Amino acid sequence: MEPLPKLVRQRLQAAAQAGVHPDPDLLAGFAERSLSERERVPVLEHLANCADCRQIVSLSLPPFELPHADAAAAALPSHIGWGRRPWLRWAAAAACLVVVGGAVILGRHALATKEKVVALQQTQSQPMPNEYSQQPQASDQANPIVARVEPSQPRRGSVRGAGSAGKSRALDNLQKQTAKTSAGSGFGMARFESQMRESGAEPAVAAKGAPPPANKKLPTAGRQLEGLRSSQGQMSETVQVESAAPPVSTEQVEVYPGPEAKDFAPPAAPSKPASPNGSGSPKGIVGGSVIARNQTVQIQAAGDSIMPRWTLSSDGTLLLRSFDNGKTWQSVPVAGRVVFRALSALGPEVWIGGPAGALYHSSDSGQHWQKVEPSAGGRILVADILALEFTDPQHGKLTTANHEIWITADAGQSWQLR
Amino acid sequence: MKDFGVQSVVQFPAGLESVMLDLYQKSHGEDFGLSRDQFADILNEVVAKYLPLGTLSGGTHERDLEEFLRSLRVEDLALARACAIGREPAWDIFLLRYRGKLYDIAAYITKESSAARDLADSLYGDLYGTGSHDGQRVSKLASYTGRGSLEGWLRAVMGQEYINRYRRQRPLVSLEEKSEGGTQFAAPDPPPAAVVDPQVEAATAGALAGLSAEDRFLLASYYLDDRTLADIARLLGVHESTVSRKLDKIAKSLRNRIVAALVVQGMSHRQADEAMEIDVRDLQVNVKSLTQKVKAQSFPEEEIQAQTGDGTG
Repeated sequence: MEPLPKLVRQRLQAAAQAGVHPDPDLLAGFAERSLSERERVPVLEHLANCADCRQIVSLSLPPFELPHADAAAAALPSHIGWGRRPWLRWAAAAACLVVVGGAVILGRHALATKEKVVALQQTQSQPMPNEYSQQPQASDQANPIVARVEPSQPRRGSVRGAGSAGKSRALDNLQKQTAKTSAGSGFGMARFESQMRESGAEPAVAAKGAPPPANKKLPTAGRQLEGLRSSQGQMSETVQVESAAPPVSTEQVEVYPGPEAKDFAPPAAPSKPASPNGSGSPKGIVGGSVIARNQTVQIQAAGDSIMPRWTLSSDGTLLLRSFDNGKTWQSVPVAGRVVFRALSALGPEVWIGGPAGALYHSSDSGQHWQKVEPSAGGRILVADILALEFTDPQHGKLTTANHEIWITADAGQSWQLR
Repeated sequence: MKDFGVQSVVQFPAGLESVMLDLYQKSHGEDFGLSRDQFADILNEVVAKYLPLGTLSGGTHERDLEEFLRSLRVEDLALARACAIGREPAWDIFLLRYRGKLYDIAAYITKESSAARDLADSLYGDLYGTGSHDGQRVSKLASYTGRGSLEGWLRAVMGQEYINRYRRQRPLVSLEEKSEGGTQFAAPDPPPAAVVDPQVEAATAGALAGLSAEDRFLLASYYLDDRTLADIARLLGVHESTVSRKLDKIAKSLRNRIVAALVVQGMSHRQADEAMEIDVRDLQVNVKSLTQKVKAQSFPEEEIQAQTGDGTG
């Protein structure tokens, strides 16, 4: 490719002007080539000058060729897709033949060995241990002598058969063992893995870091249920703000009817508002029914679907909460018309930050809020809060627009300015 | 129902009434809970927004109108607008079709699962309309006009939101980069003042102004945004090799035009080449900082990589 003179590149960049951005409809229409020529030209003119809109248009294009259903399949580890390639199928068939042939040969060898052992036993005429059968038959648990011989054989069930019954049992055992190792990746994959084991190599390992299937729940990063420890603080002022946030109950949750929402139908038991004591008990269960402790543990172990999820609306004016993993949302009033830009939620502990040092904390999933005014060394936080990060209920940091980092180790009771 | 700011039910011209009915049927508006009148209101609003004369009863030729109306994604439009006014059957279908896609799109944009979830959740709240204006729910879906597919629109909106979010947090990124840069790398020397021959600059500006919008878009996408030929080709609907040839041709012709303009101004050919080379050396530093500034507005990863590169720009 012909290199572009640097001066031209600089000039091209300098010509960039913000101007009036086309709306997303036009940008999407441009990306999909559904605009008329009359409309396309001004959009193109704008795109030639606006890096942001070029970026948006680029993002408007779907990932190359994958529809939604196929994206989930493509997100699976690559080795699972092996069966789609014809040459691999043939290779797998050949591998199967080798494995079966090997099993048959080994079975015959084992049979011959056992016959020798039986013959030896008969000549020795020694009493058999009680746990073994007196019958001089080759079987899985037949004979200590057989047991001694077996470890030298491959550990497949194929070696334990006798005669034709042994051969079929050997194949059955081989199939069962390989089926166990396949872990749902398909019969063909099981064969492939069994072949790997036969050869002593490690079976293929699922690609780590592969993105989860599209319909799989994404893990909730950094959220754990911990009880709130009370602590006395000194270097921040806490103002109790009683919020009008609605209690947790089925009646007040806006439920979007749909197939996914139906999968998460609330239990039939009458709802009971969760206690706002921050004890770490599961809050925000849709339905809020009384749940015994052991059931609580099971539900928690089943996933984080009962923990509320939080987000801010795109304009920052609304704090949104979901108790059903994002299927339905409700807005949570906090404080007037503050535009929040930072949010950190860890279990029932929620922190939100906004302009001019506006910082609010709830320890009961948004039922009640406290306004927090961090101060350190006589200096009060007044800058816009851009980011909040809490690794546990006690330790967190906030970052401001003027590059300050404020750190707390006691759930906001005191702060340090870095 | 007056949900779209239109004061009266629109009477389509007789020639377009059948078109409207046909489009209404294709849109499955009735299944989504939209009446014919509401659908007509929506079409009128879209026409008013995009066609020069604005109204169906105006002077726009009926054929143009029909062509425009038939180019709309009417089913997506009916679905989105029905959702915007809170029709439950429409929401059932929207959830079924797009809820998973929202997360897929967010994952594609952000490349990180927790950020993707946050982005998708935030957009989903906007689409549902958790805010209100004058007691009426305000949904972002009310702004969809059917020019492109609903999925493409969702991508564009989510891309916009992602860029805006990144912009808001940009000082945070700068702080981390500075602290990392201080511990790992020596602070870069301040760039020298760019020495740009005014003649060369004028010749360059003139050469660029002579390019078409598409040519400048190609140059910007490839040389400034570092997009691949494949991505650009998909956007323009051409083959990758076509894009490659075009870029080559544009870059060569630009250089020739600049040199020709300099020669016209009295420089010799050699002097013109040298003038460009001199400016190239001086501008390398500036371009690098400018490029990093532009890249920082799009991808933080690229900015970090740029700073950890070998400095050759």
